[in-house]
Amino acid sequence: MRHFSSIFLLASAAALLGAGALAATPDLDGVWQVVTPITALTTLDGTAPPLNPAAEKIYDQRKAELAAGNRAAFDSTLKCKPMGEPRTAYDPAGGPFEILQDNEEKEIVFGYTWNRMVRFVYLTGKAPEVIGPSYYATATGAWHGNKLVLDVEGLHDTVFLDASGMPHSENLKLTETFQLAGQGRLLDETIRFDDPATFTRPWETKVTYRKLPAGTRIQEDVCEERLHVTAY
Amino acid sequence: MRQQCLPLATLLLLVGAAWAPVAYAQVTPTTPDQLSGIPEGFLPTAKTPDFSPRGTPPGYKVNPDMHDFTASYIEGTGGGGPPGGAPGGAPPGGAPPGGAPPNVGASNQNNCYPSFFGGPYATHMLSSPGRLLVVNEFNHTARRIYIGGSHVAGGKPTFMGDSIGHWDGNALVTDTINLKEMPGVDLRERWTKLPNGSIQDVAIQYDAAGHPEGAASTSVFVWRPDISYVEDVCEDFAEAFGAGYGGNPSSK
Repeated sequence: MRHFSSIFLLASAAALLGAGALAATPDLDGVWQVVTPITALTTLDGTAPPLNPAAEKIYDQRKAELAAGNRAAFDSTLKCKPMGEPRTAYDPAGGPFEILQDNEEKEIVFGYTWNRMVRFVYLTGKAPEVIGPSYYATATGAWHGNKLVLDVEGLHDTVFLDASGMPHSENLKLTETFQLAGQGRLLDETIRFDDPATFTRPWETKVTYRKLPAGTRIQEDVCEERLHVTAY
Repeated sequence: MRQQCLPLATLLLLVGAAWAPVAYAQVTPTTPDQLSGIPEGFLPTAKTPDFSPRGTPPGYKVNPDMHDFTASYIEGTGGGGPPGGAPGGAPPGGAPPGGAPPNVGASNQNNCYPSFFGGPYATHMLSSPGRLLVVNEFNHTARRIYIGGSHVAGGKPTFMGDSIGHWDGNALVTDTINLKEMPGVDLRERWTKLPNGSIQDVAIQYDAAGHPEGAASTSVFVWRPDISYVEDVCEDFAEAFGAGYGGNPSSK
């Protein structure tokens, strides 16, 4: 009888430990870099995003400017203005970024290399009050099993989704889903773009980041120094 | 559709509002027990204007983990201290108190360069394994302190410098070198969480020969659980005020 009790206790403990392991928050903490930098976004099946005719016209104009070597005509990052969300993480010029998770699981910070931009994500279930649209917007998030799901809205329409000038409106809603892969060495991000003013239907893309070696530090980037821009 | 640019009057009001909590934070004197455990060399001088954070806001509970600084703060500054100024406390767009090398300072802040001295905007800290991230909203200034790390050999000077730290009891002792705005300076700081949740940062500078330069200075980051991060983009302010851009042909 004592023998069976011990087995029962051991089995219960193992079950609890297993449940605990399953419930543990994935550790995204570290420095990450996009595996394949993205210049022009595509959908999950590799096709062009479903722009509506008005947005297509804007996008065509930007592509023409790019072809003419005149990026400065539309891309404010050449004035050191932020790339905005979600472009910074996967842009060819974005550089590595770090993710920091707090101990109480109330917030996550994305610290980008590019011009020292940061993005705060609150996991408290309530979006903080903000003034107007911004470059990195207001993001609330929650863990769904081993996936971190972020809801993002309130983005400037003056920035683009990628370096090719893919437009969006201020009504864009992003749903970013992060999930570790490759035994924690990779981080997959699926992004859903929902913006009826720009796209004929919601669409998704996927980006993969690789974890840089432990001890990697984010280097200080001062865009104004790098591009010799004088703001005043 | 929401407005893309705030009217000038609104911007000025916001700047004014940002100053208000700083003044409020400087009302009550620092008590000796708040400084206990700080080595003699770190004690502020009698000339240091006294201040202390306000009490714990109602409805909020201080995180009892003394090694966890994750929270939002408004910085009050003790002032005084070493030549070259204290961390924090520089007015927006102004040079660090005590002056700065001729090649840096106010003009660089006006050009949207980061400043180690931050500004009177909110500060947000996040403690993570092996790191403390200190973000001042002013011009998206991010300072990283590597806990248990070592200085980068042959590192180049940067605006935030190379900061490492270790725990001495409940005090985070940090050492910062390669500060672009303070060439040759070794800045040593002692960060402690106060019982009311605020963070006290006592700093002293050492010169290249290892001699302390002046007395220590004290800053207190007043815990503000009621605020959250607000994006500040210096480059937008420059444009909003009609200053425009120059210097880079591709930006025109």
